[in-house]
Amino acid sequence: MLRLQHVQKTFNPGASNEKVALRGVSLTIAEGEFATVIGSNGAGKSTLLNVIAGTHLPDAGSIHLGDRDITWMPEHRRAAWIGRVFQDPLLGTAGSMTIEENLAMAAARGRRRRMRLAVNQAMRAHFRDELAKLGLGLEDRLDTRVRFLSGGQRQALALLMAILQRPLLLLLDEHTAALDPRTARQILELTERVVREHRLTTLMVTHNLEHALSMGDRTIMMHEGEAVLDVSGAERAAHTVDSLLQEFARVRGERLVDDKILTTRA
Amino acid sequence: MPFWVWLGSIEEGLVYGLTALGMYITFRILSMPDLTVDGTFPLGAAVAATLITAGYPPAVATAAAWAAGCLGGLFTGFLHTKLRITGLLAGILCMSALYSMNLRIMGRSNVPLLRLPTIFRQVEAAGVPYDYVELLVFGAFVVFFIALLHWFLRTEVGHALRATGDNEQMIRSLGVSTDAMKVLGLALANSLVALSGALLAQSQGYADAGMGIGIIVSGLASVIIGEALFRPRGLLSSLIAVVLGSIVYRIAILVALRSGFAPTDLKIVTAMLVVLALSMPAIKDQITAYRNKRAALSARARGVATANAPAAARPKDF
Ligand SMILES: Nc1ncnc2c1ncn2[C@@H]1O[C@H](COP(=O)(O)OP(=O)(O)OP(=O)(O)O)[C@@H](O)[C@H]1O
Ligand SMILES: [Mg+2]
Repeated sequence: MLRLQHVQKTFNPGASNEKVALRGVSLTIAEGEFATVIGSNGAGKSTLLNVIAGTHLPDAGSIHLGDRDITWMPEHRRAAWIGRVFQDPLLGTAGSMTIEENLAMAAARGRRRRMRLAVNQAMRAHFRDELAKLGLGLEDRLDTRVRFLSGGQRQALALLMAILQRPLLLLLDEHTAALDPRTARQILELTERVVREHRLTTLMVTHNLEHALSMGDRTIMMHEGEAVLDVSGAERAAHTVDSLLQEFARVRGERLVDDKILTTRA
Repeated sequence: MPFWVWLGSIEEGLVYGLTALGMYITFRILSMPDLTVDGTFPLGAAVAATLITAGYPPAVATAAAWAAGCLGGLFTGFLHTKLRITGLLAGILCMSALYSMNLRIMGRSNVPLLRLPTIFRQVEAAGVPYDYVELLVFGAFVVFFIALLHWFLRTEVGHALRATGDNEQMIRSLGVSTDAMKVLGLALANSLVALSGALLAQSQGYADAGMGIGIIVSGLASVIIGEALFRPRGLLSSLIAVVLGSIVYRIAILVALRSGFAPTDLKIVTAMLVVLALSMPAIKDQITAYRNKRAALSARARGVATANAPAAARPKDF
């Protein structure tokens, strides 16, 4: 479904603040697979999702979604197949527009926008049904501007918007990190439910190692722009939060040794 | 003041209201202050006057002026999105290029329309009393464009335009080219501004290269006064508030002139009006805070603890 081959991305190349964010990541995600992505700050997780979504173009390598090569496709074109939820609840919705207007924009994802009224009665009924499934009472507030919703409500709406038009790929970047623990749990349960229900191919970045192991069916650990661990099935089941932490420490140590060798050689 | 004096201000408010509607699109909906308008306003006047002088029917000349404004906006949009020049600078560049362009179109700095057919003469010829021709024509254009914008901003494309000004990352991830939307918004806005210039030229009987001076400030003043005074909640009320703001602004100018300000003082009067409208929320907040504080202090003096006393006024340790 999703295939990345030797994807590289360097920010500010040649400048003093040059930063290699992805150093040749190769990754294949099967259709219907739900993979969690972990790694320390600056490991390149967000950059990985951004090059898949097209927010940033890679420097080298290739990205295929289904049988399409999307490596160089502009973000708004590939958006037809990719649903996204961001860490910041403000980023996933338009605050000055109403709930139904936001949903209508999501319903038009990947289509040519036309010069006709964006919301009609049939859509309104559909939106109401979908909102009711969230269980937050938003179905009675279609005309409320999103700016008046809480962060959790906005994030739930953003999740619904991301999956409303069944994407081929769902990208979640720490989408519960800005929420209080209870709301975060609700959104995570919701995520699991919709991903299962529609068998969505999903990449979910999280800093919570417990969730990384308990949710989905595969876990990828990134470190300094590389996928250093990639486990699924029995191998994954054998992992615990502690063993993941040990793994973290191990790759970090190896990297240190590598750097030492490099510096002594230089 | 006699009625016709008020009427004059209302008419002005309506015709400049089209400019204000255009500026509402860039300034408020796209959140992108666009300075092209100082050039596209006289552009509309120049195109309309030149075509009418050349013998084209006023309706054709007016439509051409509208289209010319579109092109002006397209050009700024191109500079901004494709050449990545900041919006403010792109507008300034386009505006100053248009100044030369307008002189080229007119061939001189002023084109009179004396004894030539205009939309207004035609409406008058159709039997509308002379005194109400301008009110009717300006009013009809304003009503038409408010209705059109109110419809357009609720279409799929209109949603995409509004979302571009609200949250670019989001609407791009929903499959919209935000560059295309910015170009569209700029074209739409400047087409209204040029139309406004074309109508004004026909009603006052000449086009002048200097007509656009100060349009940015008066347009902005209209948008801000309309919002501050009428506090619109929905889309339609926002559009109407903008035009009402434009009328209030023209009346305020009239009153200022009548009360002894010289025409050369108008800029400072405008600036003061805008400052007043912009600072209204801040002033209100300060008044409320002051009142709350006084109430809390007097309550404390009486030995009563009130629920809304500021936290700092309560004892620190319990
Ligand atoms: N737009 C950018 N310009 C310059 N550098 C960037 C940009 N985006 C990311 N980086 C750099 O690339 C590296 C990887 O960043 P990225 O955001 O992918 O990390 P992350 O794994 O998502 O981290 P976190 O857990 O903190 O979100 C970091 O060193 C970051 O500073
Ligand atoms: Mg990140």
